[in-house]
Amino acid sequence: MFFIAFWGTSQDSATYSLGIDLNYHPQDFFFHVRGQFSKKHLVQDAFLGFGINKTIFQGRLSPVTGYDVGYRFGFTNWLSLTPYLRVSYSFLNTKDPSGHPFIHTTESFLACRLAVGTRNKLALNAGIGPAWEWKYDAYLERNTHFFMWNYFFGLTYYHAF
Amino acid sequence: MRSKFLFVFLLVLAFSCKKEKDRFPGTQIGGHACAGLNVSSSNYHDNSLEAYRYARSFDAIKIVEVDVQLSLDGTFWLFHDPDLDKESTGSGTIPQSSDAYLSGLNYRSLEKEKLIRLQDLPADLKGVILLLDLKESDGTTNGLIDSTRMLQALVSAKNYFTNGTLRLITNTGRFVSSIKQTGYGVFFNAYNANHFLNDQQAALMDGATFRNTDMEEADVAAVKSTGKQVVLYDVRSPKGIRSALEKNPDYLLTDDIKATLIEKYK
Repeated sequence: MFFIAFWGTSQDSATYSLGIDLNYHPQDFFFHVRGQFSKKHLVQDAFLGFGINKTIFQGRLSPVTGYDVGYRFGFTNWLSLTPYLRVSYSFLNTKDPSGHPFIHTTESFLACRLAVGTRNKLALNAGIGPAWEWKYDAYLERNTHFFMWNYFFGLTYYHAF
Repeated sequence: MRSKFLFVFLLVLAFSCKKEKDRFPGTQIGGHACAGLNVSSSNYHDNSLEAYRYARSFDAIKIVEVDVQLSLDGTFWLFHDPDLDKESTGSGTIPQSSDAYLSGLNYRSLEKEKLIRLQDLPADLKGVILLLDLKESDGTTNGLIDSTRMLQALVSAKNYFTNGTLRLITNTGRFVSSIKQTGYGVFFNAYNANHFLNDQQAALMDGATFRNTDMEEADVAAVKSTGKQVVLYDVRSPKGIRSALEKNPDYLLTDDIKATLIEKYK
């Protein structure tokens, strides 16, 4: 098991990539634009996006932003597997006139990415983890949070520069 | 350049301060099976305490529907399906199970919420309507629960809850007069407007519940014209939610609270 960390190929020079992805999440389908920085085995992504159903089909912007950090196992030059951690934040304004329309969600995921390609890459992603939804509770008459488990599946396209 | 910047800033400010408009003031929003049934966007399993608390956390939720079944010990438990096997860690049916057995069960969901009694819900309703969808099967193929035990349980629930309104959905139309005497408003779960309006007991009922797809706007208006209330349910997609709200029912029991709030307040 120890040697698995040194298994396969790694890249000594830093690589910058831009990507787009589509994720299924219990709350919505999310579209993200992302930037990736990778050096040796360390891979970091930052992304910004929105919920498609709420933003496009309901006309209410549902933004999300997040950060992935993972460790890349390169099996060959064109195939890699990257277990990673994701933290993300999303936000929704329900416009409920009660004076407390905002719903904030923070999530973290243990996830994995299987990527195929060299300069142009396609990656399958999946993850599961805890989430906290923060909002005003009309019954308790104070701000509170709701704990839950969430998951996602996604497909990402990267172009390396 | 500076005046352009000021103009854009004022425009953004004007839009962000815009008074939100209730597009459907005649329709009040409710949670179906607490906060949604058979829908991935619901944070919790239907009919769980977590889902009830979540639904109640929204100021716009004025009615919460729960599915209730009577156990062998005469206690109402919240559970939707006829059988325990698919959604919970138990087997058999609620009417054929004891309270001791049911209290050890939880749902097969990521959160593993526990099955709860009706009287595990907070007693203070704080002004909302609690709508009990009464599942009347006794757990056998065609049998129905005993009326005396059912009425005793309803009276017990009536005495437990405070500060709100209790209403009940009947799927059979049995004992409507007796149920009303215990202080419940009664709704009939009907297939469509004609089914309800032609029912001999319709005059005794306060209204009826219908699947959204079974009713047109004219059907809703026809039922409302008789002085009865209309509750629509079974809406999940934004399109379905919008179509239900446009029919102008008295209540919409939604499976996606957030999507419904977005449609209602634009």
